[in-house]
Amino acid sequence: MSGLHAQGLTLRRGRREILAGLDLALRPGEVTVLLGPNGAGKSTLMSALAGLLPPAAGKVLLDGEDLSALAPAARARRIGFLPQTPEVAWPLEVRILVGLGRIPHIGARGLSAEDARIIEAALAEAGAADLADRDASTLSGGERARVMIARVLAGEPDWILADEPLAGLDPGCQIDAAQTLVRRAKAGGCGVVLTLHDLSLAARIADRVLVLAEGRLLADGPPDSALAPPVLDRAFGVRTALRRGPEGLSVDVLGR
Amino acid sequence: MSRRGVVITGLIALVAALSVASLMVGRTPLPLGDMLAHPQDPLWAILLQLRLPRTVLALLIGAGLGLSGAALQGFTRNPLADPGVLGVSASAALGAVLTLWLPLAFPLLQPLAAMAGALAGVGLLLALAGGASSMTVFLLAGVVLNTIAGAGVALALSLAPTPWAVNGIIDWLMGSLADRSPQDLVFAGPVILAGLVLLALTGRALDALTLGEAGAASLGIDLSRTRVLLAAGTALAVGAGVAVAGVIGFAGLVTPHLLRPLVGARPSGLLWPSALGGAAVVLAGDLAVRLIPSAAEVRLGVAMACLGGPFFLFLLLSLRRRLG
Repeated sequence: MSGLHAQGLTLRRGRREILAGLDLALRPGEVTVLLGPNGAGKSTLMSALAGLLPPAAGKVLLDGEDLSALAPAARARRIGFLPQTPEVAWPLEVRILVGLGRIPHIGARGLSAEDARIIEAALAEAGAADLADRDASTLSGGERARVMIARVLAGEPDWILADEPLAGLDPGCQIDAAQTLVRRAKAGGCGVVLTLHDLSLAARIADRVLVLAEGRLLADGPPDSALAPPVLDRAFGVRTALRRGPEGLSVDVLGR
Repeated sequence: MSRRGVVITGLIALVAALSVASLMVGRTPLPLGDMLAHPQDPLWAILLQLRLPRTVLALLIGAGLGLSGAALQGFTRNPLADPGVLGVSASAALGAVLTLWLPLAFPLLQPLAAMAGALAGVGLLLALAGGASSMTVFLLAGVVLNTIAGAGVALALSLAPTPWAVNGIIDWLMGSLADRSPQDLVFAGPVILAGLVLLALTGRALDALTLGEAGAASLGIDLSRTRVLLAAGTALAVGAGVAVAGVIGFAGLVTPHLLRPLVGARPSGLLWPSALGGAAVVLAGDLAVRLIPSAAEVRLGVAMACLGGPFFLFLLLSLRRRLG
């Protein structure tokens, strides 16, 4: 049973149920986009899939193995996670920051020549090679997004879970960052899961779209079915039109 | 050699030079040449029984303050964190002071109580700050801890059973290394060293915490293990220091700041240089109080506070500019 699976996944905060018995089967090599209104439980689902929040009931399985039974370092080698609004606490050199992605692999030893090569490759792959010597605390939003993606790539995970990695980026930066992640899925066979708020971007890059509202999945399927106007109306309370143009799918938001 | 290597070598040389100076400086001049010619010279007793414990204690206590300051700053991602600011030193002092009211007495009671106070302080600090280790929450928790410990010590002062007790309490509040005995060193030395080792084990986790708690956890870092190492290491290194020398502030705050521009901001890379730097700061401070010409020796804790206050002010001003 290969892939990342959730079975009856339930999470509570206090007495409130954030996720109510979710069933999911995510496949490697696919880009899955998770959509949903604010407060739908997207970030909670992402953290649970990354093994960072223990479920109240149900479980997350990685290639059939219960995630909570994996050692933290073993889990971290296979699942890379990019939290929402990533923090950079100290003015580190970008290359050192990206090198933090190697922590699950190196244990107590220092970085080897092979690690250094992987770090440079990750910087190049994320289009951040020219930033390598910069102070990470002085980066612009777009630069920081590229560096954070390079940090995840440097861990060479089988799965990349990124919580709103494109938030606050200009359209050009959004496309660059999204393409880096799509490339990892298509060429590297990595499973990529993203949360987004941009419906058209989701339509364009996703192999599969999940729509989450009030802790339940409203839709789970290819973009042309999961982004159908009735689904988006139920999830967000907006009228939309799904258009198919020469450049692929796009979603127009028409109003309430 | 890397820049960090150069800085570390320089720090080792500085600590060595300050240690030699600390052995030589004092009320009684030690003519080392004559002493070497006369192994029976009573001056040897001054060197070995008085100066040596004082020097080694200054070195170890400074290393404990510097390393715990660097580790606490790394863990809280807060450049204002330090055992003094966060109330750990004050908790240790309160622990020692409370023993004056205990009906029992045994030789190591006060030092052990100081360490228990430090451990309770760190534990309370981590519990108060909870999972949300934001800069503000941590500093507020430190304010709460300092307030509680300060109130406790003030109460002890006002209710002190005897004038000796008052003097004893003042000793805990204004740290000093004057007249420490070899026994103090034998007790505190191994404990501080154990604390240093525990704190040094947090390096990798502190690096990962640069990315925040979620980022660190996603890299496979066990944050509860890090908390335990940090709490135990700080309690041992700082608690044992307070136990034999009272509260000496600011070395833990100042040292990582002075070194960050020199060795880089990566938290693990800052740990050992901060230990060396803290040793140098406390050795230098302890030398200074012996060289200041005054009737009574200025207490080391007071001297450090006089230097640390303006530094704290400077730090706040530069941080205010950066934080907007």
